[in-house]
Amino acid sequence: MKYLDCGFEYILSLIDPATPMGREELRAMTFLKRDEDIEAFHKRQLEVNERKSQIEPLKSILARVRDIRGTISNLSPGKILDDIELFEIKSFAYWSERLRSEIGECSSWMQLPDLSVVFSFLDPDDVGTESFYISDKLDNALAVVRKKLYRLQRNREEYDETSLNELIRLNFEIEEKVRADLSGKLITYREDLQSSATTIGKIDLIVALVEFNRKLGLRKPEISSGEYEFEELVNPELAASLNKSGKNFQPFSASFDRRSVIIGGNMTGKSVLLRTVALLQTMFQHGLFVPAKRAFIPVYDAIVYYSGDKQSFLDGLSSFAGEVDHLKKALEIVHMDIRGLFLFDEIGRNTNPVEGPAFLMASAEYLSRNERCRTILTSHYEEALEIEGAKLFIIKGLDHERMRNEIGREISYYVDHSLVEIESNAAFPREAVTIARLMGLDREFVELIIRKLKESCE
Amino acid sequence: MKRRIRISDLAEGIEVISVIGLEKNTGKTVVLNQMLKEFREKGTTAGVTSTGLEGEKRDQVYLNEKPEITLSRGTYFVTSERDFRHRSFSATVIDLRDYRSPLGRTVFARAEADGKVIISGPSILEYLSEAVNTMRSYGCEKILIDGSTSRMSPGTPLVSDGVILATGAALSMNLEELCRKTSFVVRLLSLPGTELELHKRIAPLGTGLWVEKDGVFERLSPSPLTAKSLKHELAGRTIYINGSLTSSVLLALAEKNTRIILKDFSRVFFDELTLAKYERAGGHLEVLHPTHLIAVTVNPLAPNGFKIQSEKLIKSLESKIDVPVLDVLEESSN
Repeated sequence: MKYLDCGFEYILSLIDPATPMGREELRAMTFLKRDEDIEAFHKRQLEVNERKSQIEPLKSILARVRDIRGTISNLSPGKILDDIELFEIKSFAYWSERLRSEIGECSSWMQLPDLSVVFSFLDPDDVGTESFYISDKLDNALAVVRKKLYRLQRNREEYDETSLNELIRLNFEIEEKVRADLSGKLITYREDLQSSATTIGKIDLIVALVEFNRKLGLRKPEISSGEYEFEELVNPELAASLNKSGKNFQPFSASFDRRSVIIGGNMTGKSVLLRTVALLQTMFQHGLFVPAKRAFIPVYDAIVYYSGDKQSFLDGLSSFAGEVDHLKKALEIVHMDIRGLFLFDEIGRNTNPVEGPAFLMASAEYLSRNERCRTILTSHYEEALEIEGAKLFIIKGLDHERMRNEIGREISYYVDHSLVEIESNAAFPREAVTIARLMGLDREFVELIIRKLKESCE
Repeated sequence: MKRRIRISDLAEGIEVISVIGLEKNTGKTVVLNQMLKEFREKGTTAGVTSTGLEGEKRDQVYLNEKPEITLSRGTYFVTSERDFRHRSFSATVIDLRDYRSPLGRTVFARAEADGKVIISGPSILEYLSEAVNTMRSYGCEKILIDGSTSRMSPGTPLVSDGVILATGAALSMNLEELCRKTSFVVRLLSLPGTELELHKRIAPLGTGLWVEKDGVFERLSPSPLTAKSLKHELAGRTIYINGSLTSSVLLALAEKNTRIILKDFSRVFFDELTLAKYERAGGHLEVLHPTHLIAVTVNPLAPNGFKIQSEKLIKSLESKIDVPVLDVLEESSN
């Protein structure tokens, strides 16, 4: 499955189910397009989350459950399971029962079938553990043969190879008969075993999600019918890497209209912001909780996210071709009249500064023609201020007061990543030269840039 | 009549015992079987597993080359799924773990009758140690590890409390050479351990070649195999090698009073002659994890039918080394 290039794989890599069944459930998570599907997933996470003190015991039981689906599929008429397979089934029944009793009362999706009967006929000696042995109790003839065999093996005077081999053969024959008998009995429980494996996978995934929600401090998003708002959204991947170098990710909040444009100077984090919104939406539509203090967002049928050149490079396209490609996808959605979320990072940047802004203006207008779609664009073209009917945002950028007061810090220290709404008559940020200087670009070269800038203005 | 030493008596008080063979057919299996038999007679609960590396990797490819071990009722064992299926006796399956071995998962079991099985336990040190601890939790008082043929079984001293070395005519039909080769390995197995204070400082160091300078260990090379850059002043220094030590590196380090510390004997890849040169130059060699060598066993019989005079061999070995020497054939015939 190919996800949007927004870091969703990183998020998935942090979710760690204990069983192969749980890992499969994780891989099988799909992009949900119906409110009720997302809500159902949320409900499961809330339900398990409420069982706070139970999470650890559940996890330790899940860690012991083996994937026996191969063995279950061997349960068919005429097939005889061997000791290892019978052990697998006994052990599975054992842990499934332990899980069932730990969970107790629960909603239907968590309900495990009763496997106590399976366990008890694989545990004729009432040992009560997962160990499996073809016990003497399983066939009357076994005890006799085994006793004879033991005496013969241990008694040197009686030793006789022929009778020994005969007894070994006999013992094996009876054991095989017992195995056949047990295998036959187990066929009846095939469906139960299978459904237990599936349910365990589902429980495992939700337990892993609840753990993951806690670890990352994720919150349940609310489903809106139109509004698009979030508070203190964070990018977990970037936050983790910033934390490593002792820095913090500055959370941001916004309330986006159907047509929103974000401007801001270089290095202010426009791309990160857009990528994080793409991630927010992707997590939301997979039924996950989200890295925002509050999120009130609608469900879409499709997301188109154009992140820039890296993506096109990987697809073997030129940056411009990549951009056009994504535009085509977005237009298709507009025409199909389905719900689409379009996130374009600096549209038109890959061509010349005359045609580029035209791409931006046209996209902003055309993509939000359809009432069911929402467009969020970033740009550093000044023309962005003139997009009709757009809600405009700016990322604050360089904090000049800080720059005056504290000299010689790393550039990121001077950048304020807050997102604020602006009017269309606001001044457009021009700070490329200042930023380049702060980054330590050669002084003489910077002066040359300033001269060139003046010349072009004259 | 010569006094009889039972091999299990020598292992008194030693819980985890590795049996390693200097060559195939040196009687490793005979020793294991003999010990298991003696444990049974003493009423000792025993467990057995194996570790295969180097030469025995091949055994995993050419099926069933490994000899079967004879277990008695009540003995715990750890082996591969495949070998478990080929056992000749009834057993309880206690646990099943996935150690990602080419032979399938690893079965933890208890023999419910006497019989034979091929033991192929986990070969990765971490899993081997887990297998040993698990058998301990089942109540095993003695745990035997069928070590690899060839002494290079990394970490053997880390998982086992004692080692039995099997040698014999299969290694050489020339008595003198057999004694020389065996006593060299015995020397390596008997390398002295580093004192506690130094051990504590060295134990956390990563792989590579480290040299002590003013009380601090500095990494000279990330791999001990590159001897080129070693033209530092090493005389009188303490050198820690976390990795293998080859002849060429040992020679490069041969300076007055150098003190080389290896992780354990299994990291040795130099020959007798080189060691002699190193020591003549005034070098000392020790290990972080010393080995407790319990005994040397000899198999006077070579696979081609040639037989070395057992008594002469034992006498000759005993004069060279300081551990008990036993004849396996004599042991098992009693």
